[in-house]
Amino acid sequence: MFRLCLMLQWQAITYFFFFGNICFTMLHGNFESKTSWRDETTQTSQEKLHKLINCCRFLDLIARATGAASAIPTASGWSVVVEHAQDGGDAKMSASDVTRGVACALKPPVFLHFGGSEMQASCSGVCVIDASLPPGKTVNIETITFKNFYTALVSVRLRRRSPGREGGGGEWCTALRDRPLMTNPHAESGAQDYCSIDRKQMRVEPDDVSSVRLVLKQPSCAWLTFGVEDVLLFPRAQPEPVGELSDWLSALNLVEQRLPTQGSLDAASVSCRLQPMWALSEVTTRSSRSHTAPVGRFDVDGSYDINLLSLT
Amino acid sequence: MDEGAELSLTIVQLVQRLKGSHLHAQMEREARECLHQPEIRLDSIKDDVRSFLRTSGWEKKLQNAVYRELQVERLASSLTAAAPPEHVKEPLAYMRKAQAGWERRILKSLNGMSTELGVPLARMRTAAEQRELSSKWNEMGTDEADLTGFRPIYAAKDFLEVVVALRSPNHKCGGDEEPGTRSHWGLIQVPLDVQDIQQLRGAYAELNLAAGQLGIDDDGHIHPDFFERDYVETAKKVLGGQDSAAAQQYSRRGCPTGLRADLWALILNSVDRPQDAMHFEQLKAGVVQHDLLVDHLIRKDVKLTASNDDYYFVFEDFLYQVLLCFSRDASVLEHFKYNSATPPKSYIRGKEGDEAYAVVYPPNGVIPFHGFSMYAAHPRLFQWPRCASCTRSRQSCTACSGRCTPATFSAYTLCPRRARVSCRCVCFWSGSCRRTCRDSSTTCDGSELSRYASPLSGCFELSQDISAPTSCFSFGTESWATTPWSWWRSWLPPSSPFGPRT
Repeated sequence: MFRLCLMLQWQAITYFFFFGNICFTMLHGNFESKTSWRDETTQTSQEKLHKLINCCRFLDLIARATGAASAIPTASGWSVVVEHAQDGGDAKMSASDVTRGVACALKPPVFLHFGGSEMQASCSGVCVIDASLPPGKTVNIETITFKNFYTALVSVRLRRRSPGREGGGGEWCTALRDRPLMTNPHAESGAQDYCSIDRKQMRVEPDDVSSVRLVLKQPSCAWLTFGVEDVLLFPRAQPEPVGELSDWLSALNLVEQRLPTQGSLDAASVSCRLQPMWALSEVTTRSSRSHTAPVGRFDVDGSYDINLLSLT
Repeated sequence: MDEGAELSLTIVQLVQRLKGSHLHAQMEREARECLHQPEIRLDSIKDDVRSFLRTSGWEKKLQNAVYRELQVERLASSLTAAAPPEHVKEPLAYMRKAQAGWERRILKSLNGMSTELGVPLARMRTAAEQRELSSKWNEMGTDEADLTGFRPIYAAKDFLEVVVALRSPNHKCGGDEEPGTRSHWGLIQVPLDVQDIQQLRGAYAELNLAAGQLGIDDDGHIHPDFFERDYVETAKKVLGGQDSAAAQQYSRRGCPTGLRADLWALILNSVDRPQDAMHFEQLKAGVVQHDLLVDHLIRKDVKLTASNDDYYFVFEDFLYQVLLCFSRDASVLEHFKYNSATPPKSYIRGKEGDEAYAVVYPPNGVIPFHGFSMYAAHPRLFQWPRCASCTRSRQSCTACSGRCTPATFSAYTLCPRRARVSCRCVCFWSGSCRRTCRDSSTTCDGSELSRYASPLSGCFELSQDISAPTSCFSFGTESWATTPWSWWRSWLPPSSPFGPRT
């Protein structure tokens, strides 16, 4: 498996140089290669780019799954930047968006009040936060993550661009209604948890989304304030378009087919399945690194002559 | 996270923990050896080996090991990779801050004591001292060392003050010193989610007045046919089945005196293994070689508590052996992985700041507090029941696992999770439980709460009948206020004048 990864890696590099129009940065180790893409984006090139991105992502999946993460660049170290000669149209999603979230503008939270004058206004326990993408940009959302801060319920509304309508903001629809974040709005449980909302949990397909609105509710009057922090939108990986594949990509598909899956295999679904395992391995790795001493021995080379206790 | 994914995660974690354990090695060896048996056929080797392990009792041992692992309140691994490790251990930021402050206070106190008394935190004993300690190992109580300068680092009351002072910064009455309309009833002002009276009644249904309980319904004036005889027979059946879950369920209504040791060993899945004896000797060697300041704290605590107790004074030497060895057991550090506490750290002299020379102090990461030695009496918290079996067996100390259960960690960590002391204090004062004292007093003040802030006696009384005697039970544990002497008696050999009646 490790050798397959290396072979695929070198084939990917060859593929990059062959096209010669793709500019990317590898942040892994000392290996760097850059080529700029000067030609205008064409449909064929876009297809190949998508395949390349899927290939890179899948290489990372294999590497992580086989524990050979250090051998090939990880997905977090890849950033494919496409230089466009044309303007307009949708800006293409970059590989870094997949791991670090799509860049979006988070507006300040708007707390809804009811009552007469400003002095007598009472907090209704409802707050709205808008996350807007850059003008003209849309995203197919895979996951929305955020850190909760005493919000009891969250609803998600999406502004989606209607198919066939290029202009305009799009229509609002409710993707998720009143998902509980705290088991008891009056108590601390779940008050500061990290949460995620997957596209499967949404009522509508979160595709071609230009804006996301989070409607936060906290019915308890026990809290001074509530909200969410660190909102991130993770885009969905593009599905692999049907087309002629070169030999090594065919071999890649063959490897994909051999992986034990319950349904159709694509990088996004494999990523979703493996993500919990990565998180688990991260947690256990972090835990195992801290607070451990070699079992049985508490001294260092026979010495336990220590100074005062460290307060930090 | 859906239930299927959560179950898969739990299974992965369990397999990871059990793999490489002694049980795993034993089962592998047994499976390999059973291949020689004629009943194992090649075409159905998998099923035959499974069947063999089932019939030979290994499946039951595996079940007990899995049950023991599930009892430990591990962290639910967050699938959101964005959560930092400290958040996984404790999600509330102000709790983490309070815990860090509490730990810093303890460390400062210990450093101050070491500086004030001129006693180093750790030193190597001289050869003569090592010989003397080895010769006096079984009679350490006769050592008349001067302990006047040593004082307990903290007591349950101090920890209670920290718990009472906790305030949620985002709570509307969090900053108010004076009680207001939004204040909680009682000392604890943290809005934690605790069980109400109905939920408590369901969770502790075994303590219902309609159900018999040992320590109450086996009193002298009650005929044993009413309850005691059948209950003891059930205990023997439970021991025969060797099922940890059944033993824990059984013990909720008390354990018979003569069978308590075996039942607790079964509950804690503590088995007598030769490598445990070696491990215990290694811990003993650690005690003999190094003299730690915490050793003096342990001795002081034993002198202040157990030695002055009518029931425990005869076990003073035993407590020294257990506690000193426990303080050297580095395997206890494993529990810090899923606990918000941090073990105290120091550096080898001259290598300050160099992580390669960082050590944990004491080696098990647990600084003793006032009353700590009484925990040695409680097997649930210490998991060292087999330690006492040295008096029963061949006069050679049976090594113990020495693993401190999370219950001990819940004693002095700030955590809003349900089983922890913060929640128990809130539950006590929430008004949903009312304690009835043996002397029919129904008032509870802060001093009573400080007693019950100790996880050893998270007691409650479901009955509103004030004439009912106190039933000091905590979940899965027994009353040590009602039957401590009889419990200790069960550990002694029958030939001893203080041995068990059965």
